[in-house]
Amino acid sequence: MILSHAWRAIPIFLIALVLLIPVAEAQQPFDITYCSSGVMTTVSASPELTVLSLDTKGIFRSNHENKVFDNVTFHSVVVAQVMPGKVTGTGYCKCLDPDGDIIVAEVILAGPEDTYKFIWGTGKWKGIKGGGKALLLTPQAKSITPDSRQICRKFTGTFELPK
Amino acid sequence: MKKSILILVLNLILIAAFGLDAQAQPKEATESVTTTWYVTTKVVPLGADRIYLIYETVGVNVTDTGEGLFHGATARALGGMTIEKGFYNDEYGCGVWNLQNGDKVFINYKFAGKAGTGGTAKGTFTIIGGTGKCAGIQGRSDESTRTMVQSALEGVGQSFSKAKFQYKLP
Repeated sequence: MILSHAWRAIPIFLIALVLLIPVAEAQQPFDITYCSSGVMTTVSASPELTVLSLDTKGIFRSNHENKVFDNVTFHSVVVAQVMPGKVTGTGYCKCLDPDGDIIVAEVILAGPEDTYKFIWGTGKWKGIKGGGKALLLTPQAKSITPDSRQICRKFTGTFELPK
Repeated sequence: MKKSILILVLNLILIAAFGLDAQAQPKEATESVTTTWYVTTKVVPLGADRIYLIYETVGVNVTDTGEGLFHGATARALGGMTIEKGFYNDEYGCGVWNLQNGDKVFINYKFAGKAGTGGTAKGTFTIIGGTGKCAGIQGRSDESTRTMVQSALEGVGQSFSKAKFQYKLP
């Protein structure tokens, strides 16, 4: 009886494997270090709550052998709220590759780790899906002016493109 | 007894001499640094195919090892160059590198190369001073490179430079 159930499970397993393999092949990893500089506009500031926007420019440099997103520049705008010990916010990031193709990502700020979700692309990036996490590498970096912020992050994740 | 005292005194003299000397040794180090820059410019036309460009640039540094004096340092510099038919050989700039510990390092630099997107340049950074623990710092980075990349935003330039700083702290 048990053996019979096992035999039935094999075709299901094989079908699932066949269905999953193309997805797995389409997913590509990326591993980036990026540094950026941004200018802040503070809407409201108090010890309990500060609301601000951040306009940032930076460059991706790939650490991965596939060199995905190497030398991609970006311009992002986010709105953030800063409460004691907690930074949250959302925004968008336009990434421009050396060929002039664009990716737009949604950015979610949550503490030391930002989350990126690719939502739109042009040229070779048309239909891109995926995203990743960006972890702060330079928490002690000193801002060059009170209304600016300079940081570097390690950004890793995966993406897939339609076939 | 006298012999023991003599050995003890001799040891103390040796420790004082060499120990203090070791403490007084300047700290020397070499760091491979990548700096990501964005730059705003003003242009003075100087006739056909020739301009003088002045700029303000802001950067962030990471070292290859993820540690060291320049890791996480932010930088702000002013510079200028004459660009003739897309090339320049007289770029000079001077800036402040703000270290993570709050000290500052003052650096000037000279570069020559090709202007515009994809243009690369070679040059030298010279450390001319600092504050705090970096007061009296000396050092340089020869054969440094800089690459201009396609900017994500019109009106600003974006680039990254690679340098190998060799420095000596007093």
